[in-house]
Amino acid sequence: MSPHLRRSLAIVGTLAALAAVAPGCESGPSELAPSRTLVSPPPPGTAATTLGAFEITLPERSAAEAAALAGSVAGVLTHSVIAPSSVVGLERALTRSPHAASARLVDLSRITIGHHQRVDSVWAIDEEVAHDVATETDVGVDAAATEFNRALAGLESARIVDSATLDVAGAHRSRVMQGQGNSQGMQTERVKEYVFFAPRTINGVPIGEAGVRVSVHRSGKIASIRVAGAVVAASPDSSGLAAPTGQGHLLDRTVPESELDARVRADNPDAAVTPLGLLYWLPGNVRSAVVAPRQAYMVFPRVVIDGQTGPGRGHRALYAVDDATASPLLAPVPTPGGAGDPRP
Amino acid sequence: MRNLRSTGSSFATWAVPAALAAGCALWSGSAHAQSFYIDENTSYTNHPPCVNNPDLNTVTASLQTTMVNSGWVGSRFTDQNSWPQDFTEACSSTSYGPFGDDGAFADEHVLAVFAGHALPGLVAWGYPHDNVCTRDFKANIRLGQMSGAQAAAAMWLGCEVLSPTSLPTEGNYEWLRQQFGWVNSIGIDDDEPSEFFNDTAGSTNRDAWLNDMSGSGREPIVVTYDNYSENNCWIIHYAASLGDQQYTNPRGAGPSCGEGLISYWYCYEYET
Repeated sequence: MSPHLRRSLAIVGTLAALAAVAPGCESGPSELAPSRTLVSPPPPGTAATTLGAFEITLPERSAAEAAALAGSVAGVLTHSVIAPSSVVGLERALTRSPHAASARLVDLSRITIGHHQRVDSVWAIDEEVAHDVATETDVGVDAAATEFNRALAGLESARIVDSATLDVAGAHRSRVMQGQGNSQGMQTERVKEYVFFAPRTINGVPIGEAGVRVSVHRSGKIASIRVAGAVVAASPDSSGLAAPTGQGHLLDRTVPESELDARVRADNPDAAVTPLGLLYWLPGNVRSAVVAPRQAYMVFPRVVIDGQTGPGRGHRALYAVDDATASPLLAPVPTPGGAGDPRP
Repeated sequence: MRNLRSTGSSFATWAVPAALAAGCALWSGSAHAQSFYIDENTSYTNHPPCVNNPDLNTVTASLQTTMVNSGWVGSRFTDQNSWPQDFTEACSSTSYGPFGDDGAFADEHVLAVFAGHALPGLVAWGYPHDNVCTRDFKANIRLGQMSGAQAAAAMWLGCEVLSPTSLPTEGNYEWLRQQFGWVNSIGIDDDEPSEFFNDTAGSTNRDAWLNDMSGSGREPIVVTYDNYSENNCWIIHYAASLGDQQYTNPRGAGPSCGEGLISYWYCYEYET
């Protein structure tokens, strides 16, 4: 299968999930109009480009399905087969608390697994590795990156993800630092884990919060794996790019990035603004929608506290690229005045 | 290699005696109800003398619901009903500011939560109370000690509250077992604190906070404390769990009213 064809596959969780996804990926002939050609990735600052608005869905998993998927991730983490009976703790926890829960594997208590319904994320943490602050060895970020790639291969082999739908080369890198100190003024720090996050993309454009996060301990062992998925209704077009199917459609970008850069700064004159590029973003509390890519920014308004200034709690500002007059989508949305408990 | 919490058996044979030797109760289950206290600020405009700041989304409504559904008890006060005095040390009005009432509010409960705008070691309320809008960790707040002295953990749902560089001069004045926050400027989605709390049933606070509160460039931090040693600090760091009620009892043996910092150890992890 060519890399272009593989792009059209959605992240899939289990074989059952794959089966559920399949209909959306088999919507027959491309709906592309002859005069339109999708681009991947869109050239920065280019106005007249054709993009896809895709039907994006966060699967509604039963407690058993979510626990099984988390168990599969744990299997990749531990290089072993996790028995269904070992994930019953998470299944029970998710039955009690469907939106978020974690539990230890029954047969391997050092492994914690969990699921969040909001972004359909599953994860597995190896406490024996993640809780090791004593190992002196530091393999360095390059060796850690090799382990990250091995983990991705394991996830692909287990059919949990299709790495062709991930921006592996552009994976975001961060580190977990460990530090300690005392009241005598001693304070020391060192690297503990190397963290890699490969975003899930469609034609090179990330889907908000979806992707694979792998944390590699400085010893070279994998400490945790987290997978957040989204199912995309798409089929390959004549050039091999993912073309929208179902309710999806094409749109022409008419508002250049430079114009939106200026607009977000005008809309937030005192804020610190971090450009996030194009982004597919499902609005809050929506499990499925046709989503067009938006020009995304992280906006941190300036706050003043006791005469000190700094960036305050931020939000994403997502601007339409095909309508210069449309209001941006904000996430999260300010909700001042919410009721709490009555004060005695 | 020293794995502080590897398997249940090795943890039991090594960590438990160490913790007990340090005078710690591992489990505070039925000694008193698991309780929380929340001050949440979302409205920051046109409430003089407080300075205008941007309004915020609500992040603790679902947290409260989740905790109550898990058997915890407590209060969540918002905006006008959320007062700086709730976090102000009550034992001395001359040492920590007038009208402090933490012994009846934030420091009367296992978990103290502040949601709103913040800077390193500094938190801001949206509405004034007795003309006060802000509180400084070092100058005003003494959780887990002095009056009240029941708080074991604090969750700071604001920006930059617990940067490593500010810990010795600000955050470490709280006599808690653990504190949760972020090193940098962040956004918080409405239900993320609730998800964190849910995940601590079956996981450690450390794992849940770092796993749940990262992403989008955020740098979450978990800081843990012990009165006796670095080793004990790491034991608690990798065992404390709100949902599983591990180390939810007060740290104890903290400074008395008006006293400065006494001997302690701290350990932390953050993503950057």
